[in-house]
Amino acid sequence: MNSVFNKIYDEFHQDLYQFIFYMVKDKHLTEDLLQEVYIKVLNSHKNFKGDSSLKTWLFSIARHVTIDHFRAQERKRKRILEFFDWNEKGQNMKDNKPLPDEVAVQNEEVKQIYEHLDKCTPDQKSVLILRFIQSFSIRETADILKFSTSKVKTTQHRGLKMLRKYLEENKKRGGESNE
Amino acid sequence: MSDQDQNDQREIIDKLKGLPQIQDTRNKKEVFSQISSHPDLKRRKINRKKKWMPIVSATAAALFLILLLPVFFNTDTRQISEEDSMNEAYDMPMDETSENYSYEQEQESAGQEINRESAPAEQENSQMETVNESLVVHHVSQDQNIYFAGIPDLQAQYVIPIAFINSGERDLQGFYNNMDEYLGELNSDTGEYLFENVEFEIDHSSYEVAMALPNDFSLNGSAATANMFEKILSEMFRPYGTEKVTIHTDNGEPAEFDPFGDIDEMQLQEMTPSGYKLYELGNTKMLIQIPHNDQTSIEEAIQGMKEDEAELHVFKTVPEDIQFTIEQENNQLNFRFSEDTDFTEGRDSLDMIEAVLMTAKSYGYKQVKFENTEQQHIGPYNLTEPLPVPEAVNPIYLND
Repeated sequence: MNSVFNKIYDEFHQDLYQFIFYMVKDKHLTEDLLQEVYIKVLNSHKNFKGDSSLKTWLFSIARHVTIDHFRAQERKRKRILEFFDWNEKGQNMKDNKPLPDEVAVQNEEVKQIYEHLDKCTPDQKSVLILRFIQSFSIRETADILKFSTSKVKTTQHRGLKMLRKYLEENKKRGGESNE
Repeated sequence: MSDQDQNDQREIIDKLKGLPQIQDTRNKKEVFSQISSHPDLKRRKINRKKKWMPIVSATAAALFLILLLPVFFNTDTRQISEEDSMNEAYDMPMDETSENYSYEQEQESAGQEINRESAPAEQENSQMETVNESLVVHHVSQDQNIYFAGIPDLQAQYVIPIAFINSGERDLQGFYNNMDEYLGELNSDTGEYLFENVEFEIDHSSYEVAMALPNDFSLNGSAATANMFEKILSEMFRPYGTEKVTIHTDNGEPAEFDPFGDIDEMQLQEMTPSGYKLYELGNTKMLIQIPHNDQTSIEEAIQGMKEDEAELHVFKTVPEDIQFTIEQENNQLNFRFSEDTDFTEGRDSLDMIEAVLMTAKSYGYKQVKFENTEQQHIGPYNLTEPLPVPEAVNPIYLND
C-alpha cells in the first residue's frame, strides 16, 4: 500500500471521518466525501509545500469538500422548492436522519446538542466541531478555515449562542408540556 | 458577558465535548481499495498519456528505471500491483490544486464562455485555454444574476472588485448576508472581510439598503479601514443605482462608526476613475482598481498601468514598450497603438485589452476602438470593431 496513504490513514483517518460525519451526519455520505478527500490529497500531495501542518492541510481539504457538498445540496433544494413552490414551509422541513447508534444511546441533552448543531451555519458548525469535538486550538481552527483568529472567536461565540437559544426553547417547550 | 452567560456557554461547550466519538468501521485495506478504483485516478492516467509524446515518455521511463533499479532490489517483494497504479497517479502534473479546485473550475468555465474560437491542434490547447481566461464579463443571460462585491488586497491598499454570477431567482439580500462564505475561497490571498456579522436589508424594487451592525462593531479606529469600508460598500451597491445606505446597530441605536463618529447613513461614491492592474497572490489572479483623482487623465492612468507594485502583489497590465495615443469620440475611446508597437496573441495581451476596457469604463466611456494593431483577434475580442466596455470584472460563477 502506498506510503502517503498509509501515513494519512494511520494518523488522521478517524479524525477526518469524525469531522466530516459531524458536518453531514450520514455515515455513507461521510465515506463518499472522505474518499473525495483522499483522491484530492493523493493527486496533489506533491504540491503540499509545508506552509501549514499536514493536519491543517488535510482538514481544510475535508472542509472544502464538505462545503461543496452543502452548496450542491442547497442548489438541489432550491430547485425542488421552486418546482413545488413550498417556500417558507419547505425551508422549515425537518431532515429526519436516524440517530447513529453512538448518539442514540446517549442522554437527552447530548441528543439535543447533536440535533441543534444543524441549526448553526456551516461556518459556525465547522468551528464548533473543530474546537470542541476535535479539540483543535483557535490558531489551528483559523488555519483550517482560513479565518483570522478573531473571526474564529466571533463565529464560535455566535454558534454557541445559537445552540443556547435552541436549547432554551426546547426547555421552555418541555416545561409548558409538563404544566 | 455576564457570569450567567459564561456559565451557560461553558455548559454548552461541555456538552459538545461530551458528544461521542464516531469511528469508521471499515479497515484500511477496504478504504484503500475503494480509493484506488476511483475513476478520477484512472482518468488522470489517460490524460497524462495524451500530453506526453511517446518518445519522451519512453526515454524518461528508461532513465527512471535505470535510476531506480538499485532501489527495486531492496524493495519489499510483497508490494502489490494496485500500489503501482496509485504511484503512477501521484506522478500526474498537478493542474488542479485541491484547496482551490472549485474556484479554479469556476474561473475556467468563465473563460470558456467567451471562447468563440477552437484550437486546431491538440498541442495548442493549453495555450488557447490560457488565452481565453477572461477577467471580465460582458453580458449575462436572462436567467443569470450579477451580485457586485469587493474585498481589499492583502495590504488593504486597493479594492479588488468581484462579480458573483449565479442563475435562478435573484436574491440580493440572501447573497449579501452570506457574502463572507462566497468570498471564503479567496480568504488567504486577500485582505480582511469588513462586513463580518453585518446584516443587510435590501428592498428589491427600490434598491434601498439598510445595514445593521452588531453592537460591538468596530473598524479599529483606522481612517484607512473606514475609507476602504465605504469604497467597498459603494462597489457593492452603486451599480444598482443605490446612492446611500442607512446604518443602525442591532439594538436600533445609530452606529458608533469610528473614526466617523455616530452616523446613521453613508453616501455611496460613484465609480471612481481608475486604472486596472493585476493582483496575483497564491491562486488568486484578478484585476485590481488603482483609483485616481479627477485631474488624472485616462492616458496618465493607462501609462501608470505599466508599473509593477510587487510589494503589494500588484503587477502591470500594459507592457512597458507599448506606446499609444488616446482620442475621445463621443462615448468611444480610440486607443491607437504607435507604429512600432507590436504584441502577440497571448495571456498578457488579453489582460492588457481587458484592463484598458475596464479603465475606459471607469472614465465613463461605453466602448473602445483599438487601432493600428497587426493582430485582429485577441482571445474572444475582434479588434477590428469597437469593443463595448465590460459589464463587470473578476467574475466568479457560483453555479456548477
